[in-house]
Amino acid sequence: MGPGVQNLVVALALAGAAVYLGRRAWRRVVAARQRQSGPCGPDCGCGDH
Amino acid sequence: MSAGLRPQPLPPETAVRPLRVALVGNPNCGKSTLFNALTGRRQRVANFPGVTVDRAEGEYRHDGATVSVVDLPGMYSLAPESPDEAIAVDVLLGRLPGAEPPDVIVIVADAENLERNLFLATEILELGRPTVIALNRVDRLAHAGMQIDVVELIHELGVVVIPVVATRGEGMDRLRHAVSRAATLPAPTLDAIRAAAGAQGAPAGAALAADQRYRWIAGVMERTVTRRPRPARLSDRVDAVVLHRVWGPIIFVGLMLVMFQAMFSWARPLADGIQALVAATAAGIAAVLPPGELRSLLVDGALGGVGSVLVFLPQIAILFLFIGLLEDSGYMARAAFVMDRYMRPLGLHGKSFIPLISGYACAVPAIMSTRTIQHPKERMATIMVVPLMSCSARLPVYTLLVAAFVPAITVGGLFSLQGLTMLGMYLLGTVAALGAAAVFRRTLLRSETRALIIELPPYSLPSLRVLGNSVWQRVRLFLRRAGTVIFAISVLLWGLAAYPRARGADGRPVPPEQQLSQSALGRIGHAIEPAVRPLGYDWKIGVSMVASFAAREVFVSTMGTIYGVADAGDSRRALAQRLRAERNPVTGRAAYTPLIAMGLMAFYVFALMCTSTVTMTHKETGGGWRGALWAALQFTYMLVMAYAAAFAIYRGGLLLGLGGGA
Amino acid sequence: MAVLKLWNRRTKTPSSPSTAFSRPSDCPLASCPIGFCALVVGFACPAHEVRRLRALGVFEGARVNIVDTRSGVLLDVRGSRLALDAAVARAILVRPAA
Repeated sequence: MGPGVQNLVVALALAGAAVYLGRRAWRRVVAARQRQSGPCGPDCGCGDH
Repeated sequence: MSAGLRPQPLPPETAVRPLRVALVGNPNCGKSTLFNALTGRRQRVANFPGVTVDRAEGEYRHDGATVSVVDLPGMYSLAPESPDEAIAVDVLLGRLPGAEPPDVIVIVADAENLERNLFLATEILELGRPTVIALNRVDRLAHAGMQIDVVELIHELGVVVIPVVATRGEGMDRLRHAVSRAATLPAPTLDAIRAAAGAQGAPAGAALAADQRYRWIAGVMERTVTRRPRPARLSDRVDAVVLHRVWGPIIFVGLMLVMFQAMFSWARPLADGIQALVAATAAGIAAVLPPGELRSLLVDGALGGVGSVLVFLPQIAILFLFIGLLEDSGYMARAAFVMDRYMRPLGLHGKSFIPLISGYACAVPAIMSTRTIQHPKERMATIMVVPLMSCSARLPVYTLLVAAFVPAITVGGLFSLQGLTMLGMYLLGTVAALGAAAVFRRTLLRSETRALIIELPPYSLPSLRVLGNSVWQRVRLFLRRAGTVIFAISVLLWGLAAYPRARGADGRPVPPEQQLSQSALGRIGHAIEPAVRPLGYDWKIGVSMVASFAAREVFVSTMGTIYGVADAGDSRRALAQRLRAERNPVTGRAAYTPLIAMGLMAFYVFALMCTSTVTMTHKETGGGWRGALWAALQFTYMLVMAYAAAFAIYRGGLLLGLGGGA
Repeated sequence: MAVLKLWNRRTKTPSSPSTAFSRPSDCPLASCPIGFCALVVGFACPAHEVRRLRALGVFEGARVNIVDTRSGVLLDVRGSRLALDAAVARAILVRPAA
């Protein structure tokens, strides 16, 4: 794989990670606003989902 | 468009609605186990009052129809005493906004404890809704010297009674059948109890007094249950020691010591295996990909970050195994009773102790489990201090720093100094939690301490299947988290550490150290360095700390990414070695001394770096503005404590002349 | 109250003279010896605690066995084990069961 391709994949990966984390944070804000009764967030680590 | 060719979806009103079934019963009647046996959905089960705090739902198919089952929190009567029971009653009566009452109620009754269980059962039968009684643990009757005439019981109560053994899944088919049939039959009415009470002069229509209810139940018991006097219970003989004034607390501390020792030494071989796997993966990637940006991203970023967190998987599994063992064996309720004496002067309840211990695993479910505490102020105080209990997310941080800076020597021929240091961190957090509770209960949350009335379930051998399940749930979640969030954070952090690319005067890439310092991450680190400088930290620790405000374990993955060590083989030890060898570029002295490590660990003992906990506190302290204030207070007081502790340790250590590098 | 204590100290077995309707034999659960079989006659604690105790099988007329009194009180209530702190145990009035 040439350096050009590597750079492209890296740029995509970084963008993907940023979008993933941003979307997650956004969803959590929305969920917190809507849902009062749910046990916990999607990654609280408690296993009760 | 030809309308007749495609099957049209039914409008929602006429769609076949699944039959809704609610499981109710006393705490410890085996309700959660029955729920698992019935639905096959895996769920956390415990053996002490009040752990199934949350509403759990599952489904099964019977005769081609879907039946949805909700497992309600355990309760003793329809007059709720705790927020937890109030939820159960609300669901049962259909008082929860937007939810109809269940179609069929399944009362789970512990056969061994039938008389007490019938108290709740008669209350529910009087609701006049389709009901089935699942008589659980009938296999233990012979041992307890009891016999129950089920047919007679059905006649007395006027409701179908199905004997089951939830732990072995016996009687499930008959129970499913009875549930489906109950939905179509007229609901039972318990007129007999009213008639009997009326004969005793109770006004018609009024709620029955407890003694009238029990008198009627005593009659039913006489006609349906035969008892042989049974020998002294083994459980009591064990309790004589476990609940002992002196031995009780000693046993408790001993158990905790074994738990921490196990977490540190048993996990070692497994962690080594995971490290080897991570190293092998890194080597494989390096063999396939030529040096370049992508290889660096995968090896230094993703594997460095995820790999350094992954090695803590065995420890987390062992922690949850122990907590599950304590719960399922019935010891947890005893611990609450034993500890009540010590909690009382602090203004807490023996029951506060269960959330506190759960806090060792994760503050989020621990805060949820405070719903069993009836008294609002005691509950609030417990919520406020639970996150001080060292949770499993702190474990990676402690482990990394302990492995790097505490010598692996044995003390007293038995315990390793590293294990003892870990125990020390946990004790520090525990003492701080208790102290903070005492302060809260004497200031913001002042009130009288309430009574302790707690049922001690009989000891039982924990089921391997249930235990294995609960551990697997945690492991799976941790893996999912490592594979998604931590992976994404690691990739992003790698990007922040790798860009913008610094160029030397000749336009050639600069050494990695300088590159890191000039990267976006480096600049952020330098910007916050003044804030962490008084604690003895450099900007690299500062960056990791900032990143870990989302979740504590990110500290380790950030350090792992910063030092890009995944390709150096054995990742945790390599990171630990790097930390030991790291020099401050200006002074040339060791960047991390044991003193700094101690201060850093203390910081992590106290600081509330977990967005999930903040969210949970907000929700459980009332939500809205009120909850936001409590959550903000919790976050702030813990951060102040953390900074103060780290400052005191570092500065105090310097004054004592402990500062000069390792 | 001093009389009650004396009575208690002397009574080691539940086989005391049946004084089911005489008030002086009522005493707090907290002062009963281990192995004592008691009949609950009343409560002197807040209503919500009484409700909880009743739901757990400790109601007026219930028969309870004292299993242990060394830290708080451990009761046998129809086969189930109930742990109470000393304050609650002091607020439950009992008399010896026949």
